[in-house]
Amino acid sequence: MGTGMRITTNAMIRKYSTNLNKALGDLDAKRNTVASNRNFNKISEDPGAAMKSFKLRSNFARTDVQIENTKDALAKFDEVTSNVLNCSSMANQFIETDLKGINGTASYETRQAYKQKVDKLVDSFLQQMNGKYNENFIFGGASTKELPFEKKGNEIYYRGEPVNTIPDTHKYFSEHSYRDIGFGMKEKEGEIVSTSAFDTAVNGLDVFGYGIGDDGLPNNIVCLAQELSNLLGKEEITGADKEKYDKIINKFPQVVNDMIDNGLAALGTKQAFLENAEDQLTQTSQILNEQISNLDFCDPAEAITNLMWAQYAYNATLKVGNTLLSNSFIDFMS
Amino acid sequence: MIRSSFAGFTTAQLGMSAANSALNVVGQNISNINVTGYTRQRVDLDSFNVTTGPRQWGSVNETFIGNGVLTSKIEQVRDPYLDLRFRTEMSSVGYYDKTLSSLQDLESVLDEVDREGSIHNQLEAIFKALNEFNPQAANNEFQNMSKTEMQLLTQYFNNYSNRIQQTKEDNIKEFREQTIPSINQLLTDITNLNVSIKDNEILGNPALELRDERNLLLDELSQYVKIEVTYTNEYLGLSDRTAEECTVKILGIDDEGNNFKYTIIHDDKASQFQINEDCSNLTMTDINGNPIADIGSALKPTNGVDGTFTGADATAMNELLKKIQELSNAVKDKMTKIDEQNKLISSLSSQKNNLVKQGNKLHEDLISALNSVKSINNVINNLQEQLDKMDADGVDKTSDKYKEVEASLASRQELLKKYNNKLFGQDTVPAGYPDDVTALNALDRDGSGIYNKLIKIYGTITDAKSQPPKYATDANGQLAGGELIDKKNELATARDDLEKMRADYSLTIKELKANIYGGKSPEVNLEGLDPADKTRLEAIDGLAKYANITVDWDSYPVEGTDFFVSLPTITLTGTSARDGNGIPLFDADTGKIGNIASDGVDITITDTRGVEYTEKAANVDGDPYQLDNNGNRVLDEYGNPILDMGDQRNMYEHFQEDSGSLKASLDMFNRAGEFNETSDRGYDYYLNMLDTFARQIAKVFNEANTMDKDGNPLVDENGKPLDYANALFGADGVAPIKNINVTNANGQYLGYDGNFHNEPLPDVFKTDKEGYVLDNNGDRIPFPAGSTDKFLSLNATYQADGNNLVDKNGNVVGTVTDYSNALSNAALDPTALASYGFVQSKTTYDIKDAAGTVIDTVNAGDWVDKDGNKLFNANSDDINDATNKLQILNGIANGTYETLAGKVPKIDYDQITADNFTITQDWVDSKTNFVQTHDPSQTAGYNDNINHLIAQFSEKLDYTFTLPDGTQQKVFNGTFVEFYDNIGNQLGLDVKSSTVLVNNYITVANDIANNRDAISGVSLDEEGIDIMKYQKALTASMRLMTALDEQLDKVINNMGVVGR
Repeated sequence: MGTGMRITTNAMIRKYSTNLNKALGDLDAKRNTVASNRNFNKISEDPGAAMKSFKLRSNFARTDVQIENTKDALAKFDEVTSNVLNCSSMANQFIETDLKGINGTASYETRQAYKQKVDKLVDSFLQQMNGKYNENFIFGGASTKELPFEKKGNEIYYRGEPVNTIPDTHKYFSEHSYRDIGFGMKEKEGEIVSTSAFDTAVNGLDVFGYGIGDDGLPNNIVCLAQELSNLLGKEEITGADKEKYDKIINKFPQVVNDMIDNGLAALGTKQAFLENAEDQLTQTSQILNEQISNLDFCDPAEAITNLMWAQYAYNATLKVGNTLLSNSFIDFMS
Repeated sequence: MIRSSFAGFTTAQLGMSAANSALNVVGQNISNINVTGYTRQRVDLDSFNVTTGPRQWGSVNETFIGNGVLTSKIEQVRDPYLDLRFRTEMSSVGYYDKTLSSLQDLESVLDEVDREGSIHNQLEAIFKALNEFNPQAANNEFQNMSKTEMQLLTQYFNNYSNRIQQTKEDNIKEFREQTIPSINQLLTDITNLNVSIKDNEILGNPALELRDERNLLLDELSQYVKIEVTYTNEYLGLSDRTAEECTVKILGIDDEGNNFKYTIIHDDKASQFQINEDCSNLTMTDINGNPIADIGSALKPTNGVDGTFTGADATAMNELLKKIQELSNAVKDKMTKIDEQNKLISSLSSQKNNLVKQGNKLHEDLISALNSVKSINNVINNLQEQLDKMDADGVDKTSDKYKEVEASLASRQELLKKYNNKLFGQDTVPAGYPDDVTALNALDRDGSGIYNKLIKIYGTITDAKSQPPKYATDANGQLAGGELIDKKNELATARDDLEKMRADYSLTIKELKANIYGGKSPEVNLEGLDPADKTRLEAIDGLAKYANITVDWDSYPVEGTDFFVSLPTITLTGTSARDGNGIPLFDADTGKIGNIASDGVDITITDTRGVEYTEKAANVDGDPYQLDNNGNRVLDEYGNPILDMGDQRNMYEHFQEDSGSLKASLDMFNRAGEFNETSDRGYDYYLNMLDTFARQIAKVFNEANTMDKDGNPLVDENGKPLDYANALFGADGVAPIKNINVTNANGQYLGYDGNFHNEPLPDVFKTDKEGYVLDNNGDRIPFPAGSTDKFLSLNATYQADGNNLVDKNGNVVGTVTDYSNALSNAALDPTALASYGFVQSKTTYDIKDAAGTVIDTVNAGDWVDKDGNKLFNANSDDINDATNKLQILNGIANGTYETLAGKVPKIDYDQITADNFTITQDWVDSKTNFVQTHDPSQTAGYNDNINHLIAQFSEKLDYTFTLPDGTQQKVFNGTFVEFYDNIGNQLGLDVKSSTVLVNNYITVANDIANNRDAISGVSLDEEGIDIMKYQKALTASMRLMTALDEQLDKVINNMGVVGR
């Protein structure tokens, strides 16, 4: 006997059948990869990759939501901008055409005619300032269902409070309506950390002004128009009224400018920010998608090559079996 | 040696027979090549040569020719070491294979890699829904969308949990109804084979095929449990024939975790396994079929009161054991003495016989010497006469003739002197000889002459000429002196002693038997026992009053006699003492006894080998079976006693880690990783993880919907509780109420007043984040009283046992009094109170009677009830003032105060499981709504709470479960999705590592199987070669036969022509 192991017929058969089974198992796995186009079909096949994949998929889903949030916010801001621009163009037109024609010496009837124009302007302004996006009022700050601006009698109200008397310290100015746009929206002591999310609340007071200026006239464009209307509605114009009238006329362009400067400029910054965020998110989304593809899905060329190789190995094993078991010493005995 | 003419024929015939046998074995091998487990057989041939001792007519040349070949036996070619290794590997294969298949069951539920509908995706869907809900906070359809997504999530939980439970139940069913019966059948089958093999062996058949079958069954058994198989050859009766006995032991661990072997099969006896309903307790009988129970079932309780075993009992048992030891030692002493006496007698006898032989030899010498002396004397006399005649004749004294005769005489006389020395040890004959015997007797006994030696042996010589010499007697008629006489006397004394010893011994045996049978057996005659023995006897009889004992009798032969003594080995019956063979308390072989100690609480038993066992007196009930109130065994429907599972030794705890499929199944059923501090994650780990997750989700959403970030109730601008701000998630549609979880034996619940009531009372107390109850100062309340590191938590569930509080694990944690006292210091929780409508008013208003008269004024900050009526003033009369607190607690206890619709004081999250997890029915019915803002002053559309929940999806939270003492044990920290992904990943890793391990073990096992095959398998090539080999041998033997025949034919018929 040599130094090697004694080889018996059944050991050979068993070894062969184990190997055949292994080759078939391998073939099956490769076939599965090609058929499912996936690198792994169970976590246990590659726990590390699966874990990474879940994480990526989560991020992808979140990014998707955040892109939607950003788009939604952008759309709202487009609406806001458009409304502010509308207001400004209406105001400018009014200043250009109507305001010039009005003067303190006009007759009552003329004043009434003007008043009607001004009232119409106030209504148009209010219409824009109570504009909606997606059923929600866009200038209501964090409140979306409550009519922001309202004319009661001869006074303009913002969410139930006279615009002219709203102080700087009013809680309306500290309202937020956050959206998650991919900065990892987080809370600290039960409050959203402002830098971790995007505040979509647009406060109409900030845009259109509020309170009474040092000149004793409203800072808000509608209120100013209303003030003008109230003045024009008077039957008797006193000297003081006339003076006030001139002051209003003079203040109009300034208020419009403020609206453009304070309101639109701030909005523009935010819009640009959102556009930027959307770009980034979209990019992230694409990268994530690619990463998921690379991780989860197989390279067809490689998979098919592997399959062919497995097929080849299996065929070879089959062939070997056919020759392996054919003869023994007994066949050659005479 | 002269070889027989026909010897060659026998040689040829043996050769043919051997070749024939070998060919038949080849046939057997070839025909069985495909029989599973068949072991190659081989003919053992020995060359045969008749060897004899020296013989008279043997040849001087070395020409011994052999006598042919002997077919000595047919044997199997098998390597026991490979069997051992194979079976060890197979136990690992069994373990990991079973583990893997169970984990794959779980994988089919929890693996979401390739699945659209999944908990992972559902969590993302909720995140998305909340984000869409965010800007549309006031729109119901968006709330409904979120609600639907969350409802779907709970359904996923229900589904996953159900499927895992179903898998577990199916596996338990299979384990109970198939696995356990199969292993029991396997054990029985192996014993049956043992019997068959032994029977065959007795008849001289090695039963090789039956061994193959047994090896296959043993291989199969090794997958269930890790086993060791040993074979011993036992003598059959009194013959020198042996038969093999097979013993199988489980390689397990003992109570201390050390390796230990448990016998499950010995020869024709096998253990049987039983499993309890939830598969937590695997019991086993010993090989005799007795249950293996704890020590408490072997000790008998004091005065029959269960759970007692006093120090006095232990002392009494020790006294009894000492007496048994004394008795047995006395018997053994006597046995030793008998042995010594026997040895003395036989030594004396042989010495005596030697002396007799010496005497006889001496006598022969004496006779021959005396004859020689006689003839010498004759010659001397003759020569003297010649000289005398020559003197008379006057022959010249110088003549040659005279000188010749003279010289001849002198030489004869010199010779005579030598003979005298030989006979008497001196030159001359003693005076008086040959007539005077007295003169001979006076010779020196230690002298060198024959007479001296004879005298030394016989003492005296009365007649030296007699043969043999006579013994002389002394004046007293006694045999006098002489070694022979001495030996005879010694022998007689020794015989007498032995006789006495035997009498003594039979009394001892009688005593012994009396003790064995407690003096009650009619066969035993107690006559002759001394009173002390009788007392001792009663005491030994009493040992059985303290414990269930087994007395095994071993026979010990008394050397030099033809009888045996039986000595007892006493064991504590059927206890969990390791392999169920009991705890040895007395071992006659070594003479050692055990020791029992008890302080009434703990019992310690030290056995004869010095091994210590401990048991609680509380477990002592004297029987491994269930007993009724009268102490009788409870019988099942078939009339069999029912095992008391609490008493049984749980074999599951005695298997080695990671070995055998039994252990794998049981690990999957019983181990839940961190949840029960075990090393493996079975079904319960995953169920518990899902439960924990469901609880966390419920908690986050419910808390957001019922309280603000500071834990205060959600109220409207007037301070009234919001009617829709209730729990969103619960169990089976409702938020489970958290009660004070202390019950007594009657099923009653502990109330706020420290007494037990029929109805449970809700927890309305303030706690910190970890669930510990706080007092008025916001400090934790020590429990048990005086503790510095343990505090009151109402998360714990306790059972009152008298005044003791017992936790889920059966540990006493404190007293009911302590608990009630601690509870009385607890501050009330504002959110819990708000659920009853008790809040602090935010406005000031008047309360008027029916007539409209103002009867009271409620100021902002005052406590009011649900109808707005004032309860207590703010500050001066705070809610936690002792009287006020009592008023509220009493009101809740007696039902005066009821919770508002849909509200729960506190939610018992431990009651929520993945299985019963749902959104609340009130939410389904829209009675409860999603709270969008925590700011009551804000109008519709405000969405801070939605944002809070969105943010929770990125928040790393602690996931905990409740320990028996109420403390929260952390299992994970991370976001919702991270926690859930971790579950799947954990499972994936477990599956992967099990797959790798099982493949490794299979590879090794296959290698060993190949090695085994290399030795034991049939190779067709080899068998083919053998056919040729033996066929040639057969032909050659036949040819030899022919040659011999021809040779004889020549010899008989053709050789020689003479006489023809």
